[in-house]
Amino acid sequence: MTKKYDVVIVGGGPGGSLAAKTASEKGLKTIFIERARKPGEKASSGCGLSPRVWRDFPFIKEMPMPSLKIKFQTLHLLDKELNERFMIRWSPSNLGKYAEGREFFQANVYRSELDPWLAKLATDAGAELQASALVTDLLKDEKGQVTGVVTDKGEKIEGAVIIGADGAFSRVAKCAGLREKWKPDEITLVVDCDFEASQQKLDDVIGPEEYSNNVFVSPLYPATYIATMPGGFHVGFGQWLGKFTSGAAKRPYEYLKEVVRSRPLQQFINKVGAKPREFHAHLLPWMPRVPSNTFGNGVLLVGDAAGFPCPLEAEGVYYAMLSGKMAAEAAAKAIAGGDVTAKGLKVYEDTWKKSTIGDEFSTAKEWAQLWAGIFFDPCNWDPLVRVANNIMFWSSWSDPHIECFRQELGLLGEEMPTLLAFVKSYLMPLMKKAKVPVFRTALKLGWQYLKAKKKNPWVEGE
Amino acid sequence: MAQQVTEFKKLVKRTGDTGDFIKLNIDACNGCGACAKLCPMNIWGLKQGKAVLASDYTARCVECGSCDVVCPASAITFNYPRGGSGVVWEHG
Repeated sequence: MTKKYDVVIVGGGPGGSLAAKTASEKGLKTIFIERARKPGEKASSGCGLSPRVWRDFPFIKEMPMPSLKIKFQTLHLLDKELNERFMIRWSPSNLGKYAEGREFFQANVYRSELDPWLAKLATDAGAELQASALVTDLLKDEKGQVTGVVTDKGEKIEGAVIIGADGAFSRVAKCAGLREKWKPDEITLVVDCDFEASQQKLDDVIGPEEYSNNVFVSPLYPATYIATMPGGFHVGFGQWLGKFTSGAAKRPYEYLKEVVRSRPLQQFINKVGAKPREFHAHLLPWMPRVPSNTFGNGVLLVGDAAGFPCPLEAEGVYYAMLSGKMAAEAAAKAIAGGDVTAKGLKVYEDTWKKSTIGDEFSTAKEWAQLWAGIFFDPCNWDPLVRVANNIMFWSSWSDPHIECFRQELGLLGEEMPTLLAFVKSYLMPLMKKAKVPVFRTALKLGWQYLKAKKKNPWVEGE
Repeated sequence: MAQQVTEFKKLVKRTGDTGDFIKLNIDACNGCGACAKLCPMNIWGLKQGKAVLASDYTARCVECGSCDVVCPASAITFNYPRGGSGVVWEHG
């Protein structure tokens, strides 16, 4: 017997659960289908919740599972020998427009705990959850309108609108003709190892108010993150498929081993007495362009399936939740309006493009290039590490300070072509997108310099 | 610590009977080796100019799907294992 619904959602992650919750709250008969035995069992990434989750989904304050609010960002610059040469650490700025944006960078939580809780919000709202079911195909009518799904047990489930919340490797996207395959510059592979460490040790060593995300960058491997979690942390990194398969690149697993063996990582691991616990690998879309093909006849794509992770730092859960909600709202409108073809569902694309997702992707190319050119391309990193490491040489006690300062300026002079190339390639495009009138600003600064009052020197007689 | 590092790949829980879920079209394979270079679990190899899938792949694959996405000849068809089976992440 074929089951019939208003909305059929493929995927029980944050995108699928928010779509299911929203659709049910709008009175639509909804089912969401998850291939794992329960939501969260096959989610191996996306542990960071941005302040925007608190702003746009206030129910997150009720989440019962432990999470860690990250109050510092730390960037470690390592050289070719993997010695740390420079570290910079900062806390959230007061420029944040709302309280949570000023309080923390992100909150880290285990997906194996977050996902089941989000799914329960959806089932509490009336959505049906079918787990341990893999969607293998879509049902279509003679006009090519998607009308339902088929599971690996041969079960047919019909729906007026099908929402693909099935992640980076989306069967829905493929069967609906929306995406046959990602291009090599649109998709990354992330390898990651979870370590366990006692919460007490983490609190003692790092301090409960000092939790930081750590990023280690070196000329030898792609930027590596330590994401601290309740009772543990993840060590991982990713790289575009196109870059991993280029001649010079090592295998992802080799990089991970080198990274974990490096002294800075070993120091951290030993300090908190951590042990490796679980190994992960997953695809993560990282688009250098605005996502397209996110809707079709009877079908919508959300979250990773749509290519929505942030093009600068790949935050995905918030975008999945937001687009899941938007997709359900669009489905409700289309069903009420009696048109669930692409024409009726276009409102979904219009909505996400006008939202914070569209704003983020307005600068997709520039952010992706910055990340690729610096953090993901080890070869570019060496000169920048050298400059950062020497930026404070003027303060060295090894020689008269003015001599050290002269040497430092000499080095900066040598590296100036690199620095200027960096400014030209990565900063100027961002200034342009941020609508900074560069020439006019340079003139203004020059004028301000000329007009600046010279402060009276402290030393008398000058 | 070095001992623990090399055992990362073993830190993967699994459940159920996945069945076969990866197919290789050997005629379409152009021997580029991208799958072998990329696979985080080493289940793809290259032999005499053609890709080779490990016979015990169902016990080693972590279901990332990279092999299918990276293959320029579309010779690899990855499907997720049957519902309720395969990799189980408890600390994702």
